[in-house]
Amino acid sequence: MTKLKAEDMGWEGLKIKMLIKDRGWTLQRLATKIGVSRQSVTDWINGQIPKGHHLISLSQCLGVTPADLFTPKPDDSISVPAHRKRGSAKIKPATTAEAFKLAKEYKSLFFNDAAGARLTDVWKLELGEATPDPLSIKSIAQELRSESGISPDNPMNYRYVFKMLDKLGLVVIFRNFHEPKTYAFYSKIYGRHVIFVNTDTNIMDLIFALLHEAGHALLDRNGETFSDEDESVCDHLAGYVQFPDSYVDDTYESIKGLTPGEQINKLKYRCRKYGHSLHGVVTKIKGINPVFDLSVHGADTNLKKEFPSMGQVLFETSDAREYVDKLFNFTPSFMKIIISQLDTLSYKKLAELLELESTLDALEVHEELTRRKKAGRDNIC
Amino acid sequence: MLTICDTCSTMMVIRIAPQMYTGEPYECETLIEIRHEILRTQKFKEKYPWRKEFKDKIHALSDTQVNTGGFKNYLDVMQILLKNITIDEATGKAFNLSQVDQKILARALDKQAAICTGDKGLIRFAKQEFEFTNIISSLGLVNIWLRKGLIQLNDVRLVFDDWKKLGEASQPQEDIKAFEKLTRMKYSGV
Repeated sequence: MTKLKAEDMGWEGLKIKMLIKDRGWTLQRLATKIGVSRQSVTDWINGQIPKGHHLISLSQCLGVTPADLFTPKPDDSISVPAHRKRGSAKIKPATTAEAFKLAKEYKSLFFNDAAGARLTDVWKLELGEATPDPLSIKSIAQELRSESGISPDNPMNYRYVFKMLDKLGLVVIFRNFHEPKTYAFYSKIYGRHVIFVNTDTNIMDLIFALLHEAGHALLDRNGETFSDEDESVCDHLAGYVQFPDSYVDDTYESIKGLTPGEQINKLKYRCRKYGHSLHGVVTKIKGINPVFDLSVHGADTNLKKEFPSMGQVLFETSDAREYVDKLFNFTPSFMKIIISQLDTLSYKKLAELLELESTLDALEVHEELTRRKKAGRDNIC
Repeated sequence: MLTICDTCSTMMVIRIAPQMYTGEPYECETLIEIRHEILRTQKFKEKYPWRKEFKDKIHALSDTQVNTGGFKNYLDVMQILLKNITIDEATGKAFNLSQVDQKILARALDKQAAICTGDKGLIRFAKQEFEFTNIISSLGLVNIWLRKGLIQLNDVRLVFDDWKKLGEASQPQEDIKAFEKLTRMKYSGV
């Protein structure tokens, strides 16, 4: 497996020693020039990062940039973002780089969330290092479905998926990705399992993508990239979670013997009722009958136009309170982290974390969160 | 002294001194990001429905004007410190500054200016990492303008009432006392 790491800047105090030596200076001379004690310089050499103004004075004295006193080092706090790979398609390095950049914006937030809950270890242990067999995947899928609270015979819709993710201890963050075809990606930040969701994604497309990313979290390859086999496991898991066998069987029975046009109309009725795509259910039907070759691409594209994107769901109204209610509904774990750190989050930072373009909008949200915190809602201590 | 104002402080005081960014005696400036934030279409209901009336009054510094060598140096250092997780000694938590906060501080350090803000995280980071304590509250800025004769008492009364209604951040006691001493009036704001 390829081991990729986020990179960050590590303080290199020993460089100070080298630079002093080049100049024929003593530690004391440097300390006097900067206006600090000799001990301070020793502490910096031994690994303590100087305060900002000292860092500037230090770099100016030594004739280097502040960045020169740091060295790129692997950043273990963030795992390689995992995107769903389709077949032999490669994930572009730019896509991974963009995802790393996005994940890094939340480093401080998760660093401060030291006491936060972690992914239920039971799940992780069951999948472990080896590739699970199909029966195990199906069994796990059934358990995941029951975690969500969905009726045994119904397909998952996006609301139940979010419930399931939260029960597993996964944190969901809504952001707009630059690449529209990237629906979601998974990353671990300071031990928290996080799924970033593209707000441009149609809610029909979101279900399978989220379930696939949940698969990444459960496999948890500890910073290693996921193999093609892992991707296949995640796809199978997502498929079993989304569509129970009883629903697929029932759906297939209902369209047998009909003309293609009638089949599409009947399937569209079910898609609208249960909130899933045509493509997804047809793929499952092909699992029962491999020669079933109903072409649904055009119909699926048109059907999706009837459904909103995740962003449109979140910002359905212009009421900050309703927006916050929705966030607590879809991503309660993330919102609990936000609310627990509200006292140290500025409106501007909140705007960045929630990707609100206007600080004035973030102000409204901040006030609503403060109101909720004071009212003692959401079990926030 | 030159003062860099953030979004919230601008919204609190601009109705008191609409010329704050266009009149030299006010010695105020702000960043282009702040201007965009104030004038951008909001998703939620408007706390400040009058804000676009001040579109022509909010003159902001362009990126070219701000991106001097000193500014970039300060900004680079802040970004390195924050990426390496700098702990707020007052709270024990990692600092969580926005990009705009960093730019405001970098500009203030570069120009040896003051910052008008109520953002406690920014204030603590500036003090801890740069020994920067040139922070002015919105009321503090109003006091400066009153002393300079740039504004009249009538300009402030209605706005102070609004501060209360809108739930703006409470102002420091020392600035409240200074206002009352300056005007011999009871302070009616937050």
